[in-house]
Amino acid sequence: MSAIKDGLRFKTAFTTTAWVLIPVAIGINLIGRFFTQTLNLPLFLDTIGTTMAAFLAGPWVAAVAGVLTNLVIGLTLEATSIPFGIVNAAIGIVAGVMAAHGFLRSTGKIILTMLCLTAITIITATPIVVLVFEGVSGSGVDAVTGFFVASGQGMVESVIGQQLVTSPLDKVLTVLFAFALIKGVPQRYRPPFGREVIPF
Amino acid sequence: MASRARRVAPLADHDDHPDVVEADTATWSPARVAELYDIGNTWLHRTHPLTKLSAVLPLTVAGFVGDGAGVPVILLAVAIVTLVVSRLGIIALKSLRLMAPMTLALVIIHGVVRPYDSEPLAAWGPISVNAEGLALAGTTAARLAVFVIAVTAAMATVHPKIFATALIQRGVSHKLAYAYLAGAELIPEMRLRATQILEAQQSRGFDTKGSLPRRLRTLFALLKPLLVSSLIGVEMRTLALESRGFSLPGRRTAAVAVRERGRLLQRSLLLASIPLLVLAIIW
Amino acid sequence: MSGAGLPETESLATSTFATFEDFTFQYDTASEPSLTDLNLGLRADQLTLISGPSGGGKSTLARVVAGFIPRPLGGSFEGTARVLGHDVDTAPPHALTEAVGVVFDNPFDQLTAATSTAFDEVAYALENEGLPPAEIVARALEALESVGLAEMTGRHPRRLSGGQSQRLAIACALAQRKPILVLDDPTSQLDPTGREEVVSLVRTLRDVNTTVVLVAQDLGHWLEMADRLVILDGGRVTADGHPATLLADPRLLDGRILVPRCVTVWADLRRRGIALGDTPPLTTDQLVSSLRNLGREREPTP
Repeated sequence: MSAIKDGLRFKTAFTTTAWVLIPVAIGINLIGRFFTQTLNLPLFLDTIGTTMAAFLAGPWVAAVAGVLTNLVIGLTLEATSIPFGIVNAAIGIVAGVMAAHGFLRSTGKIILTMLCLTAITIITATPIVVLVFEGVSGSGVDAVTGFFVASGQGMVESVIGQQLVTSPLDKVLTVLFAFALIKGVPQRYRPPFGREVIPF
Repeated sequence: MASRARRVAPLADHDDHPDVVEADTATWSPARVAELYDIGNTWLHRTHPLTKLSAVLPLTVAGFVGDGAGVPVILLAVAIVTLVVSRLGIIALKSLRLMAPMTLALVIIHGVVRPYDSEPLAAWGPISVNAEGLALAGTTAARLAVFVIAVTAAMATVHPKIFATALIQRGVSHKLAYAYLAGAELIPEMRLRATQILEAQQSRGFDTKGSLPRRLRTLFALLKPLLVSSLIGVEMRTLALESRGFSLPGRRTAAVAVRERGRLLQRSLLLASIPLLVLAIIW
Repeated sequence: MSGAGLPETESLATSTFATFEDFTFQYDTASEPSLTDLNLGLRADQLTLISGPSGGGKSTLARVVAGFIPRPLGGSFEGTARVLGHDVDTAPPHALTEAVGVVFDNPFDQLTAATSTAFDEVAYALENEGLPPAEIVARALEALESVGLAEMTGRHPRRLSGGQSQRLAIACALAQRKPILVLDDPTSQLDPTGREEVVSLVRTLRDVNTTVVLVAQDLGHWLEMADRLVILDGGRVTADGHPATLLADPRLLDGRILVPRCVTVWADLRRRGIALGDTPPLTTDQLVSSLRNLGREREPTP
């Protein structure tokens, strides 16, 4: 169980393997984002890599992967993605802490993990969308926000409503994809934290 | 190619201390890494990377000074003119293009969709445009555009490796810099993969068949081997990095160091954000 | 690709730089040991070729020598393994990774993935060592030149061919002036052109007396330059000696190790009563010339 403790402690979490895993997580986040953008889907799927990093190396490593994903995108492609680094990091922390506490070991607990990830997304993303971007994101989900706004809802309610519509599916798919990826990797290639939280 | 690399030798020959090695490095490394990065040699390219980055904060905060779009629009206009005069108009163009979908969404949601008590500015049947909403959309878009253009100008005029070197020289963890650079390297590659897979799918007519979940499953099945093999490759890269001194203790040097300058200017820029913030709050 | 441009490496004080005594090692995630009761000494003045069927323990042995076992690759072991005077279990951190260069089979996974030119890739390790910029530039260019990549310094590492990429990995180790080079099946994922590039570079390295430990499942191309052949099967040494002497033993040609055609042809002919010397030819050229000699011997003298 020491690998789980190491993953939960900031000082011991960042092994060389963790540092190498972070760019892989960033790459997976990027590809999900590019797909949903190109297809103009009302989904993001840009935290699959962060979630995978959380399951393999713990919350801190995932948080860094999350922040760096948005920094890399923000500093090289779209500056507007920088503030959402907070959301990405929060998802990594929640996913990592839940993984460490055995929340990946049964279907019921995995569903609970998906719910918690949805909740943390709404809690962290809403203030950013409302205060910084006045409710919009420039992507497909704006149509959903627009629907709530048109029905006379306030901006905060509309953004929360939009997230309640899009986020659960996004997080369910994110956790499923992250899980399926890890299952594709033989145990011996998984970092010790990942071996212990998903022992099959 | 060889002559390019040799050109750095006299630059790096100055001294044993990397701090005083002059690096006209924005133009040095010939490979284009990230999408935004443009090779050039303007005054902006020659400015210390952290000076440019430090300027983002006061500029962004200044955009929030005043009630309406006045200040951010002036800032935006000055930025665009400066960039065009410096032959960096492409940066302004990229920033505005990036802002386009968001601006459109702001105008539609606030100017058209959102119900208001006040009289509409214009109305065509069920669609009406509201002045108050348009003003809010315009102000928000202008403020965001100031931030976007500042970040884009700062980052499009520095090679990512030089940016990372500048950060390491100021004490940022070289491991963090590694992860950032490796992540930035992936942007063009991942985008290419996404496009290739989608094009392959479309050419086979997949886009018309099946529901969204089914399409996502097909996409995931196509991607999984690539992603799993990159995860399996983590072990080998870890060992290779260990072999290349990744976790060696001690200070890092750089083949092409960034000349240390502008510290005072950088601090001043960051400090200038404070009065601007106060101004933005009270005005 | 001349040997003259190769950087000098530190000379090794002792001729045996790695010794294994009753060494047994098992990975944390494995159900059986990868190496069992290994007793072996590796000499610095030789190119040691390590071969055997897959899963036989070749790569594990290479990873012990390279300083990756028992840490950071976790596992349990018995017996002792000493490399360059250090017990691998108690060696100070980085003592071995700083002295032993390693090249893996996958040309791309072993690159840093964080650099945008071949030059930066080679410079990376030197930057981590904190060398002065002038020395980094000089060493990196020298190393790139010595592996024949002088024209590729500005090329993006991902745009290199497999063979070029492997030579780049070798250049990284050379630039670090590491006295020992471990090559873990460096040509197994290359096309014929890339394989030829790497083989000829390794031959050059051998000619300038670089200590090389070469792991290869397929013995073709390597036999003639190897001073010693060690066969690992099931984690144990099943044969050890000069390649020509070892391969004269028909028991080694049972198909468990991949030997080049020249050796199997030699053995076939021998079985049919046509003797081409006591030891097999190690290259096709050698086979051809002994066949020519045979033809001349059989021609009736007028």
